[in-house]
Amino acid sequence: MRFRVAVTIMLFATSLLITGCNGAKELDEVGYVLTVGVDVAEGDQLDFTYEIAIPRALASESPGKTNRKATVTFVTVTAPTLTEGRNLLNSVIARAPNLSHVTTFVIGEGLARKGLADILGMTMRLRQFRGATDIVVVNGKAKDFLLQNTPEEVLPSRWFQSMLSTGVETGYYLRTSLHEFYVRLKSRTSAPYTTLMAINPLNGEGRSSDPAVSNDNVHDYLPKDVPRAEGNPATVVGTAVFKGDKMVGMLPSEETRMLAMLLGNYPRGFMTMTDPLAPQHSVNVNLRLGRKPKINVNISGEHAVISVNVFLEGDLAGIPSGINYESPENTRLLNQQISEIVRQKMLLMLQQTQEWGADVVDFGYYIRPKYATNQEFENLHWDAIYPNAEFNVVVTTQIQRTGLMHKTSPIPSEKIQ
Amino acid sequence: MSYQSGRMGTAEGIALVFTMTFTTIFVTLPAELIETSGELGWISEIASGLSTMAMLFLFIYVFERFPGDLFYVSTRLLGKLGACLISIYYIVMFFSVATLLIRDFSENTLFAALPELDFHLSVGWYALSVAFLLYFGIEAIARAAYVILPFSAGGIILAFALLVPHYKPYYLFPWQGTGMTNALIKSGVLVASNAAAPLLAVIAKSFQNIRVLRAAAIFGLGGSMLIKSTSILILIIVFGPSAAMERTLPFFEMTRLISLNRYIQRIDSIFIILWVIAGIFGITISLYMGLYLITRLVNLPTMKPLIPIVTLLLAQIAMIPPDASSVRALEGILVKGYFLIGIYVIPLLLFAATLLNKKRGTKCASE
Repeated sequence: MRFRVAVTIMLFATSLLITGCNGAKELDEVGYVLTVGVDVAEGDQLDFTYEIAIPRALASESPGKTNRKATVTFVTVTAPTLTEGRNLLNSVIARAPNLSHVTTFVIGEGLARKGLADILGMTMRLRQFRGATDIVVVNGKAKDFLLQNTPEEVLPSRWFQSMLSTGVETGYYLRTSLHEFYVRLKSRTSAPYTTLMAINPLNGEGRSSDPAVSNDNVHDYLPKDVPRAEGNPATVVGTAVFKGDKMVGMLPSEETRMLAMLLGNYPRGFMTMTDPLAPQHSVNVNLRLGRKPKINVNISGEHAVISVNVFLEGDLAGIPSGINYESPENTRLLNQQISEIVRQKMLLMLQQTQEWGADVVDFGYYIRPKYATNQEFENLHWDAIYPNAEFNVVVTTQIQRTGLMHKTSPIPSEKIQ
Repeated sequence: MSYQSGRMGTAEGIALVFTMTFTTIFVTLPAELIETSGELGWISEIASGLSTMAMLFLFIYVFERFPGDLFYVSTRLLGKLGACLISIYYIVMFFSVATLLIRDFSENTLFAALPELDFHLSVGWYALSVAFLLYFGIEAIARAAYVILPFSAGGIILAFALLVPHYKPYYLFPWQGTGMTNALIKSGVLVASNAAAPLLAVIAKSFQNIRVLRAAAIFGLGGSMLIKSTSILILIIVFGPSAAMERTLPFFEMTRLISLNRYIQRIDSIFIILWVIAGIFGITISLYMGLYLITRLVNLPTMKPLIPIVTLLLAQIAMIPPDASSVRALEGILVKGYFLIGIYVIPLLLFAATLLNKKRGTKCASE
């Protein structure tokens, strides 16, 4: 009998505890922070810009009419640390700040160049933040980016998530999480990197660098330089490269694509190049990695030779010249040209990272199996070796499909005239 | 209820040993192992499991010749005083394991699941749940542990599978980590993560026959060893050794990383339930072993009156260390010192006494 009473009391107590009422907060008592922007401020201070959701607006009866201004509010506070920023935020908004829904950390370029170690330490230690949270660097100030970003999505945090997940469509930017950044930061060999964003001036004039490789028709862009007008000025292109916790440079769109290939993270992307047989025209192909790149690093003394073998597969996407590139001979010609362009662009990107002393591909990762103990590996000093490493890059391309046309016939010349 | 348990089979034996030894993957131990053994941490765990298994087989050898439980066998081999000392040793050991687990899991609950919960309430809730389970007796506990065993193992394997996008296998190199010798020595010391494995000896009489003991040692400890070793391996290839050794709750951190798409993310709360259940069972079984030995030592007819008193006492002791660092320091002292006696010294002692006894017996027979 006593046992039954004990069980009844126990179950009753359990049912009370699992209702969630203990310590529960109503939705309008919590300030859900969706995005945190961090910039350097004067002195040793930091500017924290919090993008906070307004749940009532999201629950509007006419969701079609819901606009971004109604769904979020922005608060900027200046504080020495992330935790103090949260304290001050609590003094500014009437809700209890909750940072567990933060989807993206937006870091201003100034802070990125100064170093992220102080911020990262807290994000990895505090329970509110997750390793899966995205981290991006803004070419400019994070606060300006957050305020001027006017996406079509109701929630800007959803814009970040959607935008970052679609990077695989082109390879022009790579998604990076706090976890990936931190693991690279702690590694002896690799350099961290993040997605690069900026507010574009929308004046329709790009400031791209001309193609550095012959027969390449694609310009390299940083987000501010993309020639565009109208729409949301927020633009995502390129990669911010770090050495340790400090940003040392930015890789533009095409170089980021080369990085994506070497990281084995290039599912697809269109490429435009000069037509090998009619240079006044261009040829378009849709490229993808056929397999993960084969990377081998040989070290003798203080000198490293890095061999890279990349295999690309592609589909023809457009042949304005009308030349029959579907034929085996012409396909071979096209394959050779693509391989050479990609090889040269890859080498240029790698030389750039060598100048920065930042092994962003993490070639050092591939030499780990060659050492038996940590002590031997530590004595290698990869950071000193990488800037002088020699690269042997081999790119092989195979156009596999011709799309919905199996043969191109030229437009009759009399019609062109 | 009597402490004189029934005749448990292989399933219960496996469940008891597995549950008692695999719970350490939910605390800081995997990170500590990586800190000491580096990339070789996962092999250290296998070495540690195998050496514990070897010691369990020494126990089994003894019990094959002298059927009974630990108290009875040690009385026969070492006399009343020897049996008392061994029992007192294991009582302290099992109660230490229970106390540390109460504290660890209470802290983990506060940290990972309910940050606003009062610390005393967290400890109290674990103690209450454990005391409640103890009233059902070891057979019921073992069978319940067996029921949740596939869910525990399956859940852990699922978590590992969902982490595949984060795998970087070359982080397992340099393969010798901090050095083979160092790793093997450390594995010998960290064998104490399996400190509770001798529970098979404590309640040996409760199992149907010696074959059950053998199966429990092989599959229970072997399964737990594989899960723990895989867990350390995955931790290394997901975080890299440098970041992995920093983690306080490596398994929790791994589950927090799962984010496959918009729909499969933030699923760590599911795994919190898993480790809370595993923790409660771990504490319950350790506490039972300690109570069982007390009842045997002082020849009590039942352990029932002891349950609330001892649970309350251990819950109070669990709250004594002022902070989490002190708990880890205390764990370090126990794991690297006290627990080793129960893993290595006592099985060897009983084994030697059995051999000696056998030799004497043969000698007497020949005379």
